[in-house]
Amino acid sequence: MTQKNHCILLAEDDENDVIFLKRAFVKAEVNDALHLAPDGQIAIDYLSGAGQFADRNTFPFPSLLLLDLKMPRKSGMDVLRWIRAQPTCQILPVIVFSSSVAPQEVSAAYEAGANAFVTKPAGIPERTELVRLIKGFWLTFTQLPYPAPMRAT
Amino acid sequence: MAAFSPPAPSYQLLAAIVDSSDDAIVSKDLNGIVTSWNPAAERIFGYSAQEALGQSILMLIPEDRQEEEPKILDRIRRGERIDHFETVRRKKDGQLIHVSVTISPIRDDCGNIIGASKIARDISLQLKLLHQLRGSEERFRKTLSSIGDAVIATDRHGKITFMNAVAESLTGWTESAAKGRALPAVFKIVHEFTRNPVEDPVAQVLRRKEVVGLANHTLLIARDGTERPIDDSAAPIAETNEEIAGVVLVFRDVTERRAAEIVTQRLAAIVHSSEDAIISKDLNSIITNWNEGAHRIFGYTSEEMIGKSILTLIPPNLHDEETQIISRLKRGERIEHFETIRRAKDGRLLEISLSISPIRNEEGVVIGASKIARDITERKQTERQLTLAKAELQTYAEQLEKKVKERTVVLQQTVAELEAFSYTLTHDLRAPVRAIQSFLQILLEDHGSELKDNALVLVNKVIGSTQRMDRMILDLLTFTRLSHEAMPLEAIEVENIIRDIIHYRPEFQPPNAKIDFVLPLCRVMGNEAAFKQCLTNLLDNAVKFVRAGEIPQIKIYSRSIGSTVLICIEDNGIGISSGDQAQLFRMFSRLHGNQYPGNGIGLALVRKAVERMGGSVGVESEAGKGSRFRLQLSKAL
Repeated sequence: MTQKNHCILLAEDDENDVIFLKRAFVKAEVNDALHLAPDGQIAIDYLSGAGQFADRNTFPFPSLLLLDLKMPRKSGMDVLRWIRAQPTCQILPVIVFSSSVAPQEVSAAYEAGANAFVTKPAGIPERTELVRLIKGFWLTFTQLPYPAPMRAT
Repeated sequence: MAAFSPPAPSYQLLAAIVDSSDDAIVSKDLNGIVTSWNPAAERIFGYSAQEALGQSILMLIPEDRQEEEPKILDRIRRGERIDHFETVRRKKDGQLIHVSVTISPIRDDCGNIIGASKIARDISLQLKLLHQLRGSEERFRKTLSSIGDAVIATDRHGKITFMNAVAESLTGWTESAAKGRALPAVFKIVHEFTRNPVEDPVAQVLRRKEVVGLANHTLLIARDGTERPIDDSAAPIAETNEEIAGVVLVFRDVTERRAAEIVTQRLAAIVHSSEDAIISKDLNSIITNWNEGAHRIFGYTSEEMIGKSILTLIPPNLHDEETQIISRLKRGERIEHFETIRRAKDGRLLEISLSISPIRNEEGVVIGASKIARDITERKQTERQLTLAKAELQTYAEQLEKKVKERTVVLQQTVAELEAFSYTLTHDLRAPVRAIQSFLQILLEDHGSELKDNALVLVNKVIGSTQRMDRMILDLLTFTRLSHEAMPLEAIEVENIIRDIIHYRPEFQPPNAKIDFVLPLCRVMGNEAAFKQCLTNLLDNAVKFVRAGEIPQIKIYSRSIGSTVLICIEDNGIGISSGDQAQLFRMFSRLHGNQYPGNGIGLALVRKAVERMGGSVGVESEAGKGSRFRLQLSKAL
């Protein structure tokens, strides 16, 4: 299996979770680029290539979005709805991360267009295992869509 | 026919007597042939001597009495005399007359009976008078017998000659028993109070020769001892010659009258002592009676009011009332509990309740009215105060209810906020705890080899603490979710759920534990998740609280009780002392130290879940003898 070089956007406000996930990416030997959006609004800005994210060489359009639901400014659900309303990124695969297992939250996420709903694992080994699985399924076997044509700047 | 014996020397005299006698003097022979006939006989019977002499005496005897003659002749032949034989004879003109006949045999010188002399007296008039007399006596007797008063008559010596039926019943003596007795023997009288004998009224009459009355309070003691108050008078029976022939005593039983008098006296006493004003008035509204109560209520004395108009009491603006009252009384109507205003002597206006009844005379004609007036001023005041108090109370009650409603809304909001808050709190608490755990793991993974043994022990203690904390937060989260999340109920297969729980938990399986269940287990109405939580917690406890080294043995069975099902979980654990059982289901209640770790949420959670499912939970246990937990839930149909 050849490791394709993808860009993954992680929308997560919790610094700890970011640290744990990054560590899990390292442990799972994911070599793809991982970009961070620390709140919902920044995630939207990144996807639209607005402001500091205009340079797609530095901030390439992602092939996969890992989206936390609970975030300041714009929530994960806001970001998800925005994405599915945009012609440029409506086909972007989104894996929703949440610490909740509330059925209505799960349903709402899928209805809004999530491709997967994942409950954040509690321990370090579980996280590593999750990232390993994501790498194997989404980044290896799954044919991800080609990034949408970049906005002319 | 035997020859008539020659007259004795006194013949002339005898003949003159016979001729001049008023009585018929007739002689006949033993064949009944008339042999002599005096002028009186001619006058009485109508036949002359010439017509009668030689004829049979039968001509004088009516057809229906013809048999009398042979009997008379038989007796004469035997020499008997017949005295004052009253019979009927027929005159020449056919008229029947009553006669009294005396018949004597006539003997010859040798003593042989040769005929009979008859002396007949016309007693028709006498009889008629007698009949008349008897009739009037009978009427007299009947009259005395039928009058309502008792009558006893005595002769001039005071001996009883007559008693009527009333006298018989009052004295208890029959007339026949009393007749001839002295009056005091039958008519025993004493003074009602002194009980001294009262003088015999007949004796008084005989002495004073005038009518005497009896003293008051005379008691008659009957033959059987019955005592009756009586009223009497005795009067002399005078004969034509002004001599007293006897005494007539008339008396009557006055028991009823005395009783009525007593009632009247009592009524008078009641009227006098009544708290209510009792007043009577005539149809002109003039007061005729005024009791002490009226004095007390209205302030006027009876001297002031009797003879005055009732209008004195009525305020001028209410004078119409009296007109209406009088017209209703005249129609015979009664007025009850009529509430109105009257004025007392000192000018105070009184609220009174009036009851007015018509007073009728013996003919039933309304002649006035009795009024009973009650002062209800105080009562009315109390009533008004009560009404005000009630209204006030009502207002308070409404205000209170409104406040309660408002507060309830606020409270419900607060509860909802608190629930949301505690849910969020517990939820958000988990993230940093997990972060700490994760960081510690990273520390051990990346730098474990650099740490000294002491440091490693400390790190592991921190890890253990965070694990307990995480467990507690998770339980609290479950508890808050059970408290406020909707909990739809459905039929639950208890057996499947228990098997399921055991299947995923090695600590519930041999050799760690032995769980038996008695089948079938009744189905209950519940929420599967909540029910599972309950049983899991109970089984957790059952396997946890055992003596060191002992294998938990648990028995699960169910029992149907009416419309409910009891699910029992029996263990062989350390048990719970009765003093500890009450606090067992309270939040954060822990009975043991570190020997049996826990956070005191498990059973509170069980109770919350069971209550949310409409059931109840209880425990029976004794320290050292195991426990039996009971879940009672609705039966699934």
